[in-house]
Amino acid sequence: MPAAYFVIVGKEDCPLYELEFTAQGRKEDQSQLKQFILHASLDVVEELQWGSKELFLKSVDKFNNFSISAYLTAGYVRFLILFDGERKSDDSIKQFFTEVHELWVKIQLNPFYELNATIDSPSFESKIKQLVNRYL
Amino acid sequence: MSNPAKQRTEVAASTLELLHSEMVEYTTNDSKYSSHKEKAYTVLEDMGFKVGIRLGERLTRDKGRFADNLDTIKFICKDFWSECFKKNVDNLKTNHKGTYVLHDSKFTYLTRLSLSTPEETANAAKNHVVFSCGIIRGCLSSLGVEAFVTAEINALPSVLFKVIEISRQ
Repeated sequence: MPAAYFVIVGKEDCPLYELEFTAQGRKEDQSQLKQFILHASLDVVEELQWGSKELFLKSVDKFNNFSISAYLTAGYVRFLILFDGERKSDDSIKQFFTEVHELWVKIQLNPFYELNATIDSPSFESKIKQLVNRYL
Repeated sequence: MSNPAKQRTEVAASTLELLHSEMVEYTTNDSKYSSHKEKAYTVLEDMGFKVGIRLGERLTRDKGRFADNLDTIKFICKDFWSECFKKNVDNLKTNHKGTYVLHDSKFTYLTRLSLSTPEETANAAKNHVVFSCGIIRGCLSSLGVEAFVTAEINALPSVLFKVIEISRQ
């Protein structure tokens, strides 16, 4: 699987969920840089969100070799993914985001889930990993 | 959640009405709140708010984002109202400065409400719209519109919901 960093950012600009994938065998020493780039790209996402009514805003930012794709829900929650080097097609990224959106709505519907809190559920994590394996 | 229509589990609508009237009874008759009805209303409205947020997220799953607040209110009047109350809002008025009035001539929770005298019924009706005000406020909040929602009952069972946007100046 390609090196990627996936984050769900809530309405108050706080990260609710983060997941990092590394290509096999490589030591990951750039995690902080990736986080920093993703947070910087939130500004770009905010600019773009007023211009389009679409949920999926394809590639929003590029930095050196990293490219960032974003997806926005109706409740202004952002799903961001940062790719290191090779990127899959827009379609498969879009499908990945749509499935994550479904999982996200299911988590929200849980009455014990405090809104805008981090998502700790291990089943959510395993499902996201399955989706990454399938689409990315 | 992506089930085709025939696999959707359905629940009798009357159970929701019964649950709702029991909720109203439970909160307004609780001895903690007997002296201050406003506290009971706050609890009810808060319950509605949390439900509304989740409903808002769930119902806008497949639709794109809304261009402006008027579109959001229109969505509330059509899709959201038919999901929650099985009908559309009958009339929508706005002053284009952040206030919207939604008029529903046959509000679901009030159609079957009846006490011994009309005055008592009118009094009791006020309790039964608080939860729905909370649901509307929650749904709006999850779609990015912060607002106050109040209800006015002039003639049962018609209700006027007033949505006043909180503008941050």
